[in-house]
Amino acid sequence: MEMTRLSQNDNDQYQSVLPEDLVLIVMTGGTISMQKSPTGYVPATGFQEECLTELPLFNDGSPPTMIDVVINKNGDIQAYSSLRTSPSAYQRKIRYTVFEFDDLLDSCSVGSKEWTTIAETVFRNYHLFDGFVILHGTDTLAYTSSALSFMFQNLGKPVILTGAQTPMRKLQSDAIQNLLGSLVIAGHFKIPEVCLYFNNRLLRGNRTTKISASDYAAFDSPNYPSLAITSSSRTNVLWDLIQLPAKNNMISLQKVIDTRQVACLRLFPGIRPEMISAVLNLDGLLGLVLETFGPGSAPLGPDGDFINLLTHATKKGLLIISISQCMFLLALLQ
Amino acid sequence: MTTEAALTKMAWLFAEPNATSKSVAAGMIKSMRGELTESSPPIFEHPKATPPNNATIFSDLCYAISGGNVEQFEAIFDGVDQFLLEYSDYMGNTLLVSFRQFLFVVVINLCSFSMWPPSQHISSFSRKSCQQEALPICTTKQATHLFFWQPNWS
Repeated sequence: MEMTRLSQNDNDQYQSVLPEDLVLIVMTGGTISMQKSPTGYVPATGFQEECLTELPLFNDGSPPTMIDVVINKNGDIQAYSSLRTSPSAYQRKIRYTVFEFDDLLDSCSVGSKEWTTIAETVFRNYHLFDGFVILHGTDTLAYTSSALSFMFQNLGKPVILTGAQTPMRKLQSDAIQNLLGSLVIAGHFKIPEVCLYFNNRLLRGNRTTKISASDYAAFDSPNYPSLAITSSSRTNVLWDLIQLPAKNNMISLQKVIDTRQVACLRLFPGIRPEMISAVLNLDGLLGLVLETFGPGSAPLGPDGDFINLLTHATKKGLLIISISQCMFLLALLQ
Repeated sequence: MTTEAALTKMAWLFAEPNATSKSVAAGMIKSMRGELTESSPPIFEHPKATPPNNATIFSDLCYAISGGNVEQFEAIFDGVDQFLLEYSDYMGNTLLVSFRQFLFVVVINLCSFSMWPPSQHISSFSRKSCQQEALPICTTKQATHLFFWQPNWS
């Protein structure tokens, strides 16, 4: 498994001795790929040809070599045309290709089925690339990155999720910065975690949450520092925080099968017991995430109805986890 | 822990084969991918790890010396590394220091010699100065002597 390789093409008049890293960009959809249409912004295909080929940052003009990509679960391989970035601050270049899903999604519609598709795409191409960048809508980006971080076991290569608040095709957009930053990290650094890169910060995927719908600083990891920060001179990686694999085991995938077995309920002052019992009595529910006010604190309800309802549900075998609405504490209700 | 992480982690744990409420609960409070900072109260107890082999042999030797138990000392000492003679524990105790009362007598008698006597002088000297029943003297491969005798100030 090579981490770096020299430029292979003999006819390349731009033949450089700079090492190259190979990154697969998985395009799932989202704002970054959207295009203006009479009905508003809609997901559009042809991201590599229309958005990246014309930009020198993403295309140093070298002849596009063909890269093999495994495109389905049968293991069928198709050659994709690749592009190469200009040299980075580390005197390296990143060769990449964009693998687009057949159905590009707005991330509001992304669920466990799509998480599985993304994970399987990365898993099938794991040995062909040095790193992976996943382009995704910002609405459920934190959910997807959290889910993927659990689904991969013994991950040894970077999987970086990113997106943009405005489409790449628009004049003013954060898309270039986010995509380039993700490519540089995925191609240069061996950060074997599922991460989320946004606004010059690399965050641990399962620690992120969306904090703004319009700001370029759309994501934050409130309880954990950033794993890396892109600054004017270089990318500062905080290696002490990076989780390196303890054992040298092969990557494996364990899927999130069904999110209908879990639910989330956010408490508020005056919440009615009927509302809580409606959620607790959902068919097939095995676990509930309860967003309580502080560390496990919740209203008692008239005659302690609320506590009785929860006690009754836990006795029937339902698992209830209490998360503080301040996002600072986790408590187990038993 | 974020809501996103809690929700996806719970769904993932329930998707494991043979998942039960208990196994999922146990998994939820453990940090599996760095999503959670585990917290526990301070624990005031000795670590459960067993001390290294040399430390236990050293303790046994020291107890044998303090108790004046030659047979036990010889039985333990025969098979061990000689570096134990230079080993000291966390309190600074060494095999020689642990039988200070004997050393006291040795130092006083040795002072009558003008220099540190070679090993054969010590052997003959120690035999002469033993008033009571002389216990066997242990000799080591490095020609360092350990003295065992009853204190003769009684």
